[in-house]
Amino acid sequence: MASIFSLLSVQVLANSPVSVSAIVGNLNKPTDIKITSPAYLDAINQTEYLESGSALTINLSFTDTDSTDLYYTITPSVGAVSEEFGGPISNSATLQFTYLSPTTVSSPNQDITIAVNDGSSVASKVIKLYIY
Amino acid sequence: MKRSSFLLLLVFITAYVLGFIYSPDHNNVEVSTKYRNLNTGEYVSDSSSIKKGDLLERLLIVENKGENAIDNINVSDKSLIGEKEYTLNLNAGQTEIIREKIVLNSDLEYLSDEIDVDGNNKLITDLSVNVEEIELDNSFFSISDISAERIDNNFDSYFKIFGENLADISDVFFQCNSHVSLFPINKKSDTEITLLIESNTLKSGSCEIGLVYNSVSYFSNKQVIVTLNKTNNSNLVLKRIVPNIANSSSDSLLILQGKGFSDVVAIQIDNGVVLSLNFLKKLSDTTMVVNIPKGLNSGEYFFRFLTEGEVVSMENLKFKIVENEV
Repeated sequence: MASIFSLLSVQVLANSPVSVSAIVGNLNKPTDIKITSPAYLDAINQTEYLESGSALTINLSFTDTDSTDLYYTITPSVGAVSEEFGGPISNSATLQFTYLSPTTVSSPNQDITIAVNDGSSVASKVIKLYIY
Repeated sequence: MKRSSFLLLLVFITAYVLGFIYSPDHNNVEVSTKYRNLNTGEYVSDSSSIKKGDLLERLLIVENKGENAIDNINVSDKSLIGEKEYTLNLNAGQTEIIREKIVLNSDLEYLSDEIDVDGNNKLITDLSVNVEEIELDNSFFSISDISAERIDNNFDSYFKIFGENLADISDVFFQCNSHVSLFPINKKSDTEITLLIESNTLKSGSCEIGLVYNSVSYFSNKQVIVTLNKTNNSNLVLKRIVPNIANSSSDSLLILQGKGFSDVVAIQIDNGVVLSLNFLKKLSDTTMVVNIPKGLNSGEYFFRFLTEGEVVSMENLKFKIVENEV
């Protein structure tokens, strides 16, 4: 029976060059989601302060280097968006949607979740909202 | 039991029942009604002139004038709005106001109310009004289309009205049976009106769409069907599966849109396969990713959501598992 120590560490001693080859699996890179407008929302932890009963237009870009068909969803915690889902779309796409805030909210802190499915992984971005 | 004892018991029971029905506390309940013309902002009185097409708001005011709280006040209300029943609990001195809106689309001479409290008639009114028969002039604006013919009442909905000369429309209303809901406009141009229809504000069924222009309400020729797309009483609602197709020969990721996902601890496919949290990725309370493992038989399935207290079947939405696709 192999010693547990031999399983944990492998040492190779050689007095001449050794050729090592390895096969690296096809590592998928998730889709890059960028908020192009308003651009400040692309930074982490930025909040959009929005009046109740108003509208906000947001522009997005999706870029994926290793997948061809993307599916996306845009889901607000309250209120509604003009584009709730779509796909398949190309791996380099832009998208514009409008968010409508409700007239009353139980809590001012709300969000919009954007998710993009490239078939192998799902990338996401959350837009924080403060509705007053 | 002696006959006299039995009679005495009967007298006590009768007195108790009558005492409950005609409780002095319930006599302290007072009701009144008011009608307000939302196009003019004025309360409607006997001398008021209202026009066909006016949007009326009706207030039913129920007050506890007594010094004790009263529970289970049964109010029966017959009026222009229809026949309604309410059960109210009022603290001492508390007033409850029930608001309803209706578009005046028929010829009336009286706005009448008949209100019973706990079976006793409390109010009968006949408010004499003069309804002007005017030709509604909506030639200034026109509606050509709407963005959806169905609305899911579980969620806030994005709704658009397309047409001409819409920039001066002040509000949009939906009349579902006799129930009217008035919505402010979030965004508008001459050719488009965009508004948010908040969840649970419309009554299920067919709804007429109307516009308020120059303080007068006009019905359009458009209708929407409002659905309550739920198969259960849970707060968990599944709205969409994106994409709604998975592959039997490889793992597939599906995005779920809905609400109440924070409480989900596992998902069961209706073929019995349970997907633990290892197969789920919650992005928020409204968005969740589920990994459908390879090897499942092709077919059409729905999800059951498992929380700590309940199992909620989402039979309203199905997804497919297919061979060699996606």
